[in-house]
Amino acid sequence: MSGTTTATQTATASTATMPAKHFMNAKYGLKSWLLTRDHKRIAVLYLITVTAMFALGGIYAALIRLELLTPGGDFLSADAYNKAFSAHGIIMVFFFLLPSIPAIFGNFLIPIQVGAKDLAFPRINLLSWYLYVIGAALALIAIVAGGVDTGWTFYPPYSSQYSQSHVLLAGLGVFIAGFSSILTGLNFVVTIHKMRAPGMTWFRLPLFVWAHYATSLIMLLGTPVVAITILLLAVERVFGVGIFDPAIGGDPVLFQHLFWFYSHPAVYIMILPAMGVQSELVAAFARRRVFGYSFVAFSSLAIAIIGFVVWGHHMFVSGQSMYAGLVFSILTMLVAIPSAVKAFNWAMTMYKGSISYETPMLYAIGFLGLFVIGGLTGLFLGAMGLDIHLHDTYFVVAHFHYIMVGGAVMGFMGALHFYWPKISGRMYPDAWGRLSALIIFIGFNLTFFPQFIAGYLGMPRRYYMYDTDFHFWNLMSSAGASVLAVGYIMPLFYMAWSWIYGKPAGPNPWNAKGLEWTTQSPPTTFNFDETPIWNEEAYDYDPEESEAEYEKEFGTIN
Amino acid sequence: MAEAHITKKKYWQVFAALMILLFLTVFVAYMRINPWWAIIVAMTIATIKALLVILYFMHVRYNSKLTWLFVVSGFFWLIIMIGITLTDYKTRDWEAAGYTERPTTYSSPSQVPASMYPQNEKGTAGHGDEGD
Ligand code: HEM
Ligand SMILES: [Cu+2]
Repeated sequence: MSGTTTATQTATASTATMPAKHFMNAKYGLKSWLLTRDHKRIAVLYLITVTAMFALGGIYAALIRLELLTPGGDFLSADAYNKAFSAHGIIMVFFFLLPSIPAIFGNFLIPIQVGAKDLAFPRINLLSWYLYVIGAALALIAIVAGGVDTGWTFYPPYSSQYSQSHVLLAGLGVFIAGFSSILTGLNFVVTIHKMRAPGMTWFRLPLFVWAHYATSLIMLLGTPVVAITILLLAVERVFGVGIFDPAIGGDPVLFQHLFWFYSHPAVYIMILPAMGVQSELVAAFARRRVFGYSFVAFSSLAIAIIGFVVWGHHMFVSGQSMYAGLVFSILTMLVAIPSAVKAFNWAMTMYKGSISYETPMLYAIGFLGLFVIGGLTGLFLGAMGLDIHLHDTYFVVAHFHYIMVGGAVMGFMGALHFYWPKISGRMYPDAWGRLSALIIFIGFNLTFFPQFIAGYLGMPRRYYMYDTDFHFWNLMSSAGASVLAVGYIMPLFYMAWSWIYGKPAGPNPWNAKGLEWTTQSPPTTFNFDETPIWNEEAYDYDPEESEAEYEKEFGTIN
Repeated sequence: MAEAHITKKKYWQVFAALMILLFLTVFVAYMRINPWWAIIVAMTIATIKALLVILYFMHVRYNSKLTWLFVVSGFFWLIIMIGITLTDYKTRDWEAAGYTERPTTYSSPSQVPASMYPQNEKGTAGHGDEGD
């Protein structure tokens, strides 16, 4: 079935031609890119830089899995291993996942989806890219100059008093990149409030926009806290003022409170945009309106709000009071509710839909299953008693990789494959896309599922050696990582190929609904020739009509 | 929009008020009153100063309801952060965490008496994964 649907699409695509004028050939030259104020060009700049950081973080992941291939410490020294996982975490969290979907696809799509010419503050948008680049550069200098060995969490007093590594420089990088995130959030909030086209009411907005609205609120309310926390860390490290180190009158648990007050919501900065993508994909490829549209919309806001009151679940064994642990444990259970609302609603959207299995839909289906596993194991960890056993084991590592890689990166890949024709104007070979999606799914599970078991059996995280009892699970995990790597490298090639040789996509290669599919691909600099007027509901799909069309063309299905 | 309501004179008045409050803060700091009250007085003055800046210098007073909503939620978030963090500090068992008495503040590591260090029994202080 999927093969034939793809055939129709390529048929429509091949009749399309590339538009004469679009945002990428509107001007030429390096300057026209580096000083651009076009949200689409800035999105492309982000796409390049963020992908480079993803590749770099991936190299560190490879080093980690290579070391853990055997129980002994025979590849990296203990010190080098500490620096490898710290570099991996810092790069992947702060320079890949946090900006990935919002800064690339949010930037590209939100103005088009609401029917505007650009974001509200185009210059601030460009500034945010520069801040990101400066922050990333500082972190890279820290890594090249000898690395950081504190882990991505920078826990004091180790980070503030004892670590001999480049904590300050990396911290400064994270600090500056934080402002990039704040500015992006600000831009989105103002754009969504103020720049919607006539007829584009709040409840006609794509759920992608709702998800980014919720994400932006977290960016605005949370990021300043982590910035201040890092500043306090620097004050302690440089001037010896006792803030977090108990030896000079500080409290290390205070750092954890402040850090996780941001960093738990930050994990929702990573997953909410992917949830937004998920709604778009499921609707487009099941050809149904998202089930319970307003529930999905409000659950994004609920996640943003409840996400701010659960941070203490990272601190159950830190010396935090038992009572506070209890409160955080209960609150943590609450955050599962809006997440589950979304998961059920996506499943209900697919139910009785007219489903086809192009590459983006494969990613969407992968997301659904993997996110549910990640979320449910989060509840295991949120149960205070159980977490005493599981804390700081590989179970935690598996949990958050199921969410961050199985969820957020799947969403990123889904968005990349869904919107690539819109961004580049050309189709990639769908068969290659489906193959790589499959390889990624298999490689991912092979890498991370064994970590649940090793962790449950007691293997601690962040050590370069381990007990021989865990060897089998680590062997599987390292083998899986190499499969995963193949899956991630493949798109690099066929996407690059399609940029030049791909068939022109035409405005709407997926036959999807929404303002972004009414403009040419790639769009012109100002997106629309004139301000669009929107008088449709969101996701105005009709599964029965799609089935009928399908039957007319290819005969009955069964 | 906002500019129309705020005259130059008003800016100067607010500025004068801020200066008076500043001197008041310093004055109160040198009065040897009960520290418990000193905190309350200082925080009250600080709150008034912050309100003046937000309402007039940042034009919030003459802005839309939406702006108000965002400003208020910012402060609401601050209350959540400080409030829930305090549920930990207010209910913490300091002795069990290895302190012989409640921690006091010192300005440099060398001033701290050895007795103030946490009794570093394995697992009571520090985070498990930092190694040693
Ligand atoms: C369904 C909601 C979720 C719940 C109930 C949950 C619960 C938890 C708990 C209790 C821990 C602490 C485990 C420990 O250290 O002992 C944890 C760790 C973690 N979670 Fe989740 N989680 C959820 C969703 C997410 C999401 C959406 C992400 C990321 C996108 C995420 C990323 C992480 C990370 C990065 C850590 C480990 C941080 C570290 O110590 O390095 N979680 N989670
Ligand atoms: Cu968390």
